[in-house]
Amino acid sequence: MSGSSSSGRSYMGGLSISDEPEECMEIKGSVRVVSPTMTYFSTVLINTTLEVVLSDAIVVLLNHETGDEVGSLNPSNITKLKECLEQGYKYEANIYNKDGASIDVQLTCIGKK
Amino acid sequence: MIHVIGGFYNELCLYPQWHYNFGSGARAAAAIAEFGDKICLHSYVHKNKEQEFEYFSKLYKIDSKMIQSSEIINFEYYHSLSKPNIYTLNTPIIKQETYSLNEDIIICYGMMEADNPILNADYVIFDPQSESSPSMIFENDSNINHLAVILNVEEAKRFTKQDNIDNIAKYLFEHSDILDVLILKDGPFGAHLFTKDNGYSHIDSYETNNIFKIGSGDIFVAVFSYLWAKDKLTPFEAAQKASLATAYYCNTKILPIGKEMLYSDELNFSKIKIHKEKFNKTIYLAGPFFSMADRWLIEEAKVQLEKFGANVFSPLHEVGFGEASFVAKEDLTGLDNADILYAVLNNYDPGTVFEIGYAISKKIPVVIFIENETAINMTMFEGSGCMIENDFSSSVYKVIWESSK
Repeated sequence: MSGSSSSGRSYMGGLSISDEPEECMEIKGSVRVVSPTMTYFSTVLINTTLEVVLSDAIVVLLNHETGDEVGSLNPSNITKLKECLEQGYKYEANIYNKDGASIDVQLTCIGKK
Repeated sequence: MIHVIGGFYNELCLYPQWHYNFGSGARAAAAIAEFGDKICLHSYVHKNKEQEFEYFSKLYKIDSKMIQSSEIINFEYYHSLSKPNIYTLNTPIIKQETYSLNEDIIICYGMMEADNPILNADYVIFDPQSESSPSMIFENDSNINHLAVILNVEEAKRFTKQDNIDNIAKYLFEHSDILDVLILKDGPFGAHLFTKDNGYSHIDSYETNNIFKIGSGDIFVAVFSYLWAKDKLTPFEAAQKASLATAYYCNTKILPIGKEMLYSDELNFSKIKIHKEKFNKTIYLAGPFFSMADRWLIEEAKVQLEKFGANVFSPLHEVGFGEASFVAKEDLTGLDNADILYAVLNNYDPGTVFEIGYAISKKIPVVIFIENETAINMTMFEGSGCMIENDFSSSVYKVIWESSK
């Protein structure tokens, strides 16, 4: 079921991860939001983009407009994602699915500071 | 504090897409992390997974105890009802030293990395987590005042070599002086609760819109454990709430679970009151079988439905290929005698579309499994009352539930 292509990138599951040097740029995929703030997510529109930052060693999502934390992330490659955030890579999370408290975001790297 | 001993594993599922670090122990700890009492998770963890384990603990605000392991274990599922392929670093797996723990309340899941731990506790809730060769906590030198064992019916059959739930319960209570509560989980049919004083109750399951089965049993065990051992609910009350919590998880995949939600009207799932022993429905399995992918899906659907005790009339298996007049007559006779039609409608196979129309004209309920559907193509199916699902596991459960209504 799982497999790797010759480029060294595995495609199994939610996140795509490369083994190559630019791997921080390559972290992307669908991730479920942990402990979403429902007062925010009940009204926010699909396709709204959230900022992804480290806060007290946890990867959290920030409301772009207010700067408030609205949830956390725990993808399978969380260690790598944290490393990349610490190195200055910037990520965005686009809300693409919400069903009650089930919120899914599409994570993409948007460059380095 | 409630202590959870159990696996911290990498889980992957293709349909629906799922790629997270959980495992039974971690999922259970996360499920009840906000119930009130502090949770401590004890797991075997490989050095390469230590940071992920620490992150998990911090994210869900639980305490944790890492036990060194030389294994990384990956569970890979095709869909959430399928048996996982299990990949480990070492073959055979290197067993670690047996763990021991002395605490008031311990939730313990069987793990691949070691034999069952030695426990000294007032309350232990144990889930052996092994379909092939389960072993019981009361078989080792543990010293336990109150014990509940929770496992799947099929797992229990293998362990006891008994063929029905009453004999399973009799066998287990005869083989353990400390067993207070036995719960046998039975998928879409709910669960069976036995108590030491010969009590029996059926625990109803709940009908949900989505069915994500990976780890649902872990949620049931975790919530039951907290409510029975900590909050001192009766086993029946605790199991009912645990069933409700499990439905919530299967529907949403959301953790932690809010305890207050279990006591409110927020979760308004309908109860499913069917017993597997009385389930005697015939399901007509329609779908194309003209490519390897088609065939695989039909075989998989048949296996999953039969696992729940359904009689499956599959035109592929019952009639096969042949002259059109013969095949059509035999297929439609099979459909006339069915309680429900389960249609795999990928690519809108003409034969399947015909069978759906025929079933509707005969007032036979229809559940459709279709991926990548478009609203315009679904108009007639939706308008004529078909139940339409794009998740395989959810569609299988709905066929079982709908056929019982």
